[in-house]
Amino acid sequence: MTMTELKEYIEEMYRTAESLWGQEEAEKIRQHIESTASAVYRVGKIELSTETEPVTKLRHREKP
Amino acid sequence: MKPYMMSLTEASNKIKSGEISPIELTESLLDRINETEPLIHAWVTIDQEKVRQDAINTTTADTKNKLQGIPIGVKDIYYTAGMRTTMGSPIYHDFTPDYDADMVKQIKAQGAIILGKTETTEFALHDPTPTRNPWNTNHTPGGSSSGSAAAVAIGMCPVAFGSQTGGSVIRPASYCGVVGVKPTYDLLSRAGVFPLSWSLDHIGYMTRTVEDAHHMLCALTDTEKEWKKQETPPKIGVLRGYFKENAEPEVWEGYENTITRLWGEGAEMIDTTLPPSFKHVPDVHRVIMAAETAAAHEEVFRKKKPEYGEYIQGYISSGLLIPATIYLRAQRQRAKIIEDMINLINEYDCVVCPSSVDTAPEGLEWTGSPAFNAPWSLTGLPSVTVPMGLASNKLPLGLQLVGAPYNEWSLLMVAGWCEEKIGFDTRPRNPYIPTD
Repeated sequence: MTMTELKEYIEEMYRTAESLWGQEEAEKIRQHIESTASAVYRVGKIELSTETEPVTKLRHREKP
Repeated sequence: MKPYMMSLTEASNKIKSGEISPIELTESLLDRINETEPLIHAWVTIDQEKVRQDAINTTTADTKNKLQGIPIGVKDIYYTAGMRTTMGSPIYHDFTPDYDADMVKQIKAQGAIILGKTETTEFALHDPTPTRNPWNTNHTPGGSSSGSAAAVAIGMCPVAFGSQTGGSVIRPASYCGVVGVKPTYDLLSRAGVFPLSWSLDHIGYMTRTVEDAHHMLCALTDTEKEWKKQETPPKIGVLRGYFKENAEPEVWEGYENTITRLWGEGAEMIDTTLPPSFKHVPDVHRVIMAAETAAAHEEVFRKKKPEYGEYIQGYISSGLLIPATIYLRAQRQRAKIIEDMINLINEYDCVVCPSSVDTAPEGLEWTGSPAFNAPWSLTGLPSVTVPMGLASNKLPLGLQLVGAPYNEWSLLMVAGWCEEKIGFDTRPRNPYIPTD
């Protein structure tokens, strides 16, 4: 995981926002895009075993 | 003591014994509201005549109800039949549901009187309310359950509902110097509570004592359980690491002093290390919450985007950009975090950390960081905050206790033990607010 990759990912998400809602709107929410894109990028880098299933509501209900 | 400052348990006992009537209690609370609301702004809706009528109509013959004749504040994202429910949003300014949220139904069945609807940040996210902190009205009470925390602290009601997705019960309770409870995920029904993030949303509430928190939990779960504090000193896991790195120095000092004090009272205070998976909590929480908030709002947002506040607009928009695979990856990592945290907590009666990063921030624009509460919303583990003292700015600090899933009862017993040893007086020391 590098800073350059992270910055590139943030820019990629920003450009997606720009293409969807226009430059003015994307600029207005730049800070949110940066926070969310950073979290998305880092979550994407977490190593997970294939046995790890996602949390679901049903799983919570199975507890005693 | 005037009735408005009675604890829930005390008021309940006095109503049952006939020492005080529901209308006397209600009048005292309404007087308190009329006296302090111009400073605090905790309420969105109160129909005082209806509240009085409900109190008059409440009989005291049925002593089985746990909340008979007790007026309760309800966060304005809980549906209340026939009573306006705004979600803190102009979109729902005139919305009146035709049914009650399950928890509202439950307290009504237990004999409670709905006192009114308390201020919430917009859709229980960040865009703030006009509510002020009773300890210092230049400061936020925290959010999103801003009105509920402030109302309980100042004596407008003995108990109020909040909800928590990040830190919306524990943080405002801590900032306002009261007890806050966020039970295990899904212990209490969320039906009829406007969603923010389905897999993170929790029902919660604030009281002024741990005994009251126990009383309320009995009422909400139809449980007969006599209140008792833990008698023997508990075995407590002390969390530092992430919490020490992110806490303001004064919060950390207050926390360390409390740890020393509880140790001095005989508790086993054992240093414990957070599992490696814990470092992913902020990112995993952000991804899940942003994606689910975007999904929950998508339809209305598309039609009424300009009517949303500035913060939530950006939050939803960025959430719409999260890939599905990343959302699922976050939910998978969440499973690992939950497993690791339960393994850690099972070694103790509970673990502790500060309830907030800081004391209540100055101004009303920012309701504070949920960084110390989001881990327990993410894992669904029950958490309780008890006041642990005042910082040098005379604002309250909170100690957060976290237990194993569905261990609320024993968690409250330990919280009761800590509350007794800490001995904090929850009445706000604010020279501008009248007291007895």
